[in-house]
Amino acid sequence: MSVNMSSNNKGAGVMSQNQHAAAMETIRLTKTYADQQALDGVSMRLEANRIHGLLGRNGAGKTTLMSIATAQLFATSGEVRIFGQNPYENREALSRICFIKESQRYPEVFNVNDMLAVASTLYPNWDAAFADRLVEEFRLPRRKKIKGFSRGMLSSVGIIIGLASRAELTLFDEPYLGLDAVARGLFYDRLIEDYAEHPRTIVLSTHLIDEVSRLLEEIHLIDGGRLLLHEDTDSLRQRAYTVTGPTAKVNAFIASRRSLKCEALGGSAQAALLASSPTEQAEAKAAGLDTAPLPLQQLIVYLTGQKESDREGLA
Amino acid sequence: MNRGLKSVIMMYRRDLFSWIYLPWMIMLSSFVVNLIIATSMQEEFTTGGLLSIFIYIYIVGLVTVNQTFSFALSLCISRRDYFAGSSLAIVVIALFHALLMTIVASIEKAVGSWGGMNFFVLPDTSDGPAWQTFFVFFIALLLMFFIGFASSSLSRRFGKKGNFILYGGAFVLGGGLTTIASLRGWWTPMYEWFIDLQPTLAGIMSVLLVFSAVLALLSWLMLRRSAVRA
Repeated sequence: MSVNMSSNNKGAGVMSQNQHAAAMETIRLTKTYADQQALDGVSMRLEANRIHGLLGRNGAGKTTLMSIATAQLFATSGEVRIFGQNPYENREALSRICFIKESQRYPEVFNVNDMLAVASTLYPNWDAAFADRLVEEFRLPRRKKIKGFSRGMLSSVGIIIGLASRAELTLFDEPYLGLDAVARGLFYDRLIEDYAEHPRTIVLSTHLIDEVSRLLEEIHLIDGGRLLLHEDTDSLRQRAYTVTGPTAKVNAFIASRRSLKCEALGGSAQAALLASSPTEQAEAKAAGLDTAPLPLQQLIVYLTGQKESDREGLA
Repeated sequence: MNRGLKSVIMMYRRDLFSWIYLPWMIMLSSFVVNLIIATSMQEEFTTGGLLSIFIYIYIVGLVTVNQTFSFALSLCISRRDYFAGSSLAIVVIALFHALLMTIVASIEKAVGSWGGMNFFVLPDTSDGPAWQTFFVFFIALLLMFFIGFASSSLSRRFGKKGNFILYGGAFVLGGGLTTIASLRGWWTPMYEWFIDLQPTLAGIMSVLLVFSAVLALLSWLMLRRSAVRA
């Protein structure tokens, strides 16, 4: 017991020293398949002890990025660092990660109990009582073979493992496919509660942004294998806004600014913008336009729906 | 023992049915069928039912990489721990089966036969002293497992292309060589050469053990560079 205590304390000490260290870092990461470029020189840094959103459309390269970060896939070029180390065949670095993959397959004979037994052996910070509670809450059968689970039940298994592992770096790749609203709500609540008690680095990769946006502290937007944008969620929220007013006035206002989308309806128009300066929204009001915040979901849709040529210099 | 290695062993321990019980259920059902036949036969005979466990172990070797490799890697277990854990698990499993088979073979030897049927005692292989029988079973099980394991590691590493080249290449090369050997009359000298070696059971088993180790090494070299595509 005393050995455990001291090792925990040591862990905490190291963590506080490295408060601003990167949990995960990629340097010009590129992955090329015969038929496609999955990642195209992605350099990103995920600060430790925060909740990161890895956003982008299906096929943007999110899963590829995380598979390389966890040494399951090999990069064509570039580097990955997990807490400063190369993860390939690196027990030290790998033992600090938990990666919950949407397409995860389990051995044919495995049930939930088998999975929990393996997880408790594997993860140093595994909380068995928490896992048991989650199994109850997500109403998972313990003895039924996972092979026969529905999409939603499979997602629940991943969520339980991911949360109860308390891994220093926990990656969730599309964790709630097939889950109903109640179960999704349960996931968000337990994630926030547990994160508050046990701070760690969490990455949520998803293309469904609206529900999770309140959880995310930083947003990394990937599109077509490239990092399009990395920003603090709050600052991004403040920058994204819409202006509404007479078409002529709206057009005049957006002419010199970065507009993402402009729709005219009758004599009036609405434009979505990403502000370049903090005074921009005040300027819009001064020009006689109504302003309103633009939801993140909408912002991401506009950003990733754009053509290649329109989004230069955004990141 | 580190956590990754322990977890891989745990994966095997959680599936005792496939690794321990099922091969005996298959073998014993063959035993029962042969026993029924034995009651209606006059002369003594030896069945090939014992082969079932070796074929079974080959097949689980073949499917296990598919079942557990990507799973282990997705749990962020290193390839080294996966390979070491799997090898350790199969050594223990082979020890267990070989020991049990040796015990049953010793009983068979003591009672002569099961109503005129020989099942576990095979001439020139498992009819010697118990320790010898044990090593024969153990090495043969290990070899069968690693033939399957190496084969599926090849699929992991090189995909369909790798299998095609290996089996296609072996077929063409083997076919070519046997044709040349037949045309040039090499078979008789080859047979004489083999007999001149005066192969002993211990010698053959040693060669098979080395061959198993080579297959294990090749499997490791291939798995080391295998990826799991999401």
